[in-house]
Amino acid sequence: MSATGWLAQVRRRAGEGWNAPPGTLSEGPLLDSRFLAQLERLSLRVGRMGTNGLAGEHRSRRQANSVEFSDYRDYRPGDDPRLIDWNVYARLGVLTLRLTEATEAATLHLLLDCSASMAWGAPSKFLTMRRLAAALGCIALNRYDSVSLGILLRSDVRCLPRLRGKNDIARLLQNLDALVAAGDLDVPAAIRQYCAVPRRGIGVLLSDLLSPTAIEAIPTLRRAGLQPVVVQVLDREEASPSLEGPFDLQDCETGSRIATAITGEVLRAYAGRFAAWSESIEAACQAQRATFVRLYTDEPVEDAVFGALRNGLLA
Amino acid sequence: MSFAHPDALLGLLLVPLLLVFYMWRAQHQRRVVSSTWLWQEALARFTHHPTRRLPLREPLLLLQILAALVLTALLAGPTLGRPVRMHRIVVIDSSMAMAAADVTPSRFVAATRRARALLDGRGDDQTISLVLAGPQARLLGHAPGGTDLGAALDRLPAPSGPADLAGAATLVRGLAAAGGQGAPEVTFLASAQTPALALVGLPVRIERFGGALDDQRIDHFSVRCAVDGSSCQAFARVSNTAPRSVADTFSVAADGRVLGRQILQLAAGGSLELDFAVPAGARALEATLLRPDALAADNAAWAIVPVAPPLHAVLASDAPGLILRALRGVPGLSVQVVATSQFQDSVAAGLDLAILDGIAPDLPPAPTLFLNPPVDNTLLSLQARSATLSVAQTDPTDPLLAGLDLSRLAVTGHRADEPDWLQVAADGPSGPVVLHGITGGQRVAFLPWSTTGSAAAQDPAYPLLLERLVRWLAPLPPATVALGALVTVPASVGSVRDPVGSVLQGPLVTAGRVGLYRVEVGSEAYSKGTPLFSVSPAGPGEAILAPVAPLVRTGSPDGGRLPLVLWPPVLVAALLALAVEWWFYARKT
Repeated sequence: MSATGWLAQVRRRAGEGWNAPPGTLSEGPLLDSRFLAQLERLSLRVGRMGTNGLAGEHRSRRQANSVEFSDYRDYRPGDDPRLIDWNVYARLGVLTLRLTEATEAATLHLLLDCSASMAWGAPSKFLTMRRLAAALGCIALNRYDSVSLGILLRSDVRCLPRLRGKNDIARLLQNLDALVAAGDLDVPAAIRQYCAVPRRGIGVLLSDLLSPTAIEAIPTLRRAGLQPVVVQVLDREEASPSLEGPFDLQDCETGSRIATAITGEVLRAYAGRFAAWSESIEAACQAQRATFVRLYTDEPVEDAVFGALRNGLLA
Repeated sequence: MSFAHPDALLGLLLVPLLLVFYMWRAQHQRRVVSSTWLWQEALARFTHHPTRRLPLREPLLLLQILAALVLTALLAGPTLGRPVRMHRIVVIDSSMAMAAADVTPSRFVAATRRARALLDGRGDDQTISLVLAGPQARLLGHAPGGTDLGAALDRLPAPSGPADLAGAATLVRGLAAAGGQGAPEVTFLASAQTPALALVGLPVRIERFGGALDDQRIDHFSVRCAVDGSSCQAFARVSNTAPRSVADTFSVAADGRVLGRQILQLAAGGSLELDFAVPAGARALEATLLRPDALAADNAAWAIVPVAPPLHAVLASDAPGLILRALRGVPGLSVQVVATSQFQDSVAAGLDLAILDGIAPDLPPAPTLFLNPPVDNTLLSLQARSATLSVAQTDPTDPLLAGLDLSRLAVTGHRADEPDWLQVAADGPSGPVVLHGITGGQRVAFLPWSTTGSAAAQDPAYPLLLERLVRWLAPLPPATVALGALVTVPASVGSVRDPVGSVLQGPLVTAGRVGLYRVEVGSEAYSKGTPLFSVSPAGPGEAILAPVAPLVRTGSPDGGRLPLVLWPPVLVAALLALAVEWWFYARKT
């Protein structure tokens, strides 16, 4: 083992042993200025159903007086005669309406898993999740979209005041910085709680989804009218543990323990179960036409933003 | 293979302890994971969980096991070859301090029980020798051997007086050097107050009995009289070894009649000196401390009022004038003069002294001073040719001539060939001038020269020399002797009764018991019942009653310094380190 690898292992164990809260490791700012500048080129890819009615940059299915040409259609009695395109009538002799569409803003619902399991890993999943949330929020705020932060904890959700406009980027980062991962979480219950009121926009669930019922939250998002996006944040150690020998495994959320001896056979069984579980999440997302991204903590958030997310969520 | 310290093999217990500890720790090596759900589902496939495995891949465990093995081997001292027979020499301290009752029923009984346990636990390849370190060290016997050591332990005398540690050490060294009985190992069963045996080079284990003594004792008790015998004064010193102040009652009796009592306030570890006048006519004094303490044996002491008894001597000489004149200066000496031709052994029988001038028959039945013995005597070889004898040197260690100037003595005599049993007190270029010694249990002195025709009789040193010789030949019995001492009783005393009533025949008696010794069969001067001498428990050679640090020490076989037995503290330290590591681990996780 190289010295760097050993140091990384020590850091990892330090994070495991004491459940180091975010910030105990040298985290630095959630976003650096260069990344922020790069984010200004991006915007959310919102479906026509996802806008919120406020003026914005996203096309809406709603017809409205604007300069944005949408379509032509024949005049029908009752239509506003002011919409008749008289140039077309002059050429073709047919009363034709020139339709324009509204450009509206969208709402980005960032649903953050703040359970204790997110604090696990080095760097912690919590940090990675907040960095990604900050990036997505900045993209939205840059385009005058609204950002709604939902803090998922236990079976409840806490909604922070909605943010809108570039001026709220600082508040967004401040809110994200103040978050602490602690306690357990019932993801479907918390999502149901969040979706109890009708919502429109993009619902981004950021979580490790490390519970057997977590995937039940995805249809809930869809049913609530949100455009679901699922970002699974994991530590590489969760995918392929480097444990070997007898251990007393303790769940960092529930405190429950399993005394076992981890052998190669056990590790293979774990890897198989992990793969099956990952596939089930992907299948659930596919069924709900949800964008799914899996992000490991050792990967740069930039890669996720300019890579996987750009194909589904960002434009 | 055999081991010098097989007990140290207990250190091997560390190995399973380490394994158990590591297994426990491995079993409970806590690892916090983000979720146990996937682990539970993965493990559900397995019907059993191989949770307990030897953590042999732990390099720290392997190092610790290796360290435990090496340390144990070092402490146990393995030796290759056939098993060595062991010769355990058990020395039982029989000093007075062993009579203390701070151990139930007493230290001595506890020590004999321990010795019996060692005897009962003797292995087939082990020989046990028992040595009793009483006032005179002696060997009780061996096991296996002809002596029934169990019965010998039952018959041991009560502890009293000092322990003859030097004699015991000599005995032990002799037993150890005898060989053939195996590697020696000495076990000294001693009181907490007895010093260690001086046995450099032999492995010694000291097992102490008792602790600090709550003891008040009469250290010293004696009587001194004025030169004219008109008045006598008694002196006593009482000390307290208890670590606290004690009030005790000091009682004195003279010839069985109580003279008085005094309450003494004794400081912790302190002493008090007392003196008082002895009533006229009193012969034997007994002092007693009445407060019961842990050691009752030293609560009493005896003293005899010194009375110089008359001496009766016979002088066989054909020209006794000068000799009689010189003997006149000896106080209390009455001399019966007979011609040399009339002297027979029966004449000297029952007398304190015989002085034979010019004759030397076979040894008379009394201490004898031979003056100018004939050349053909059977006791001392003399050269036939006469010579002028003068004193060139005297033995400075001999008290007989201490302070006596014989340098001007010039006499005519015969050169004596010094036999082994005689000691030369004054020597000169032509041969010895004064010789003395003991033969046949009897004191004998020789002056191989004649005063006739010389100025010796006019020399002032001559009567002093005769007086010294008379006192040496017929010494006054000491008023107080040490326990176990060999005492020469006056010739007129036939037998002595000891404090428990046993009759001891003279002239040499052993003062084996504490108390008063009285004349049983004597003469007019020593009538029956007269106190002769006393033995007090607080003799000069008694065991020191200050506690000795109870160290268990052993000697190196090569005769070097005495190293401490290391394995018990090392084992304790190892267990302590293990416990600390355990505690630290439990605290961390």
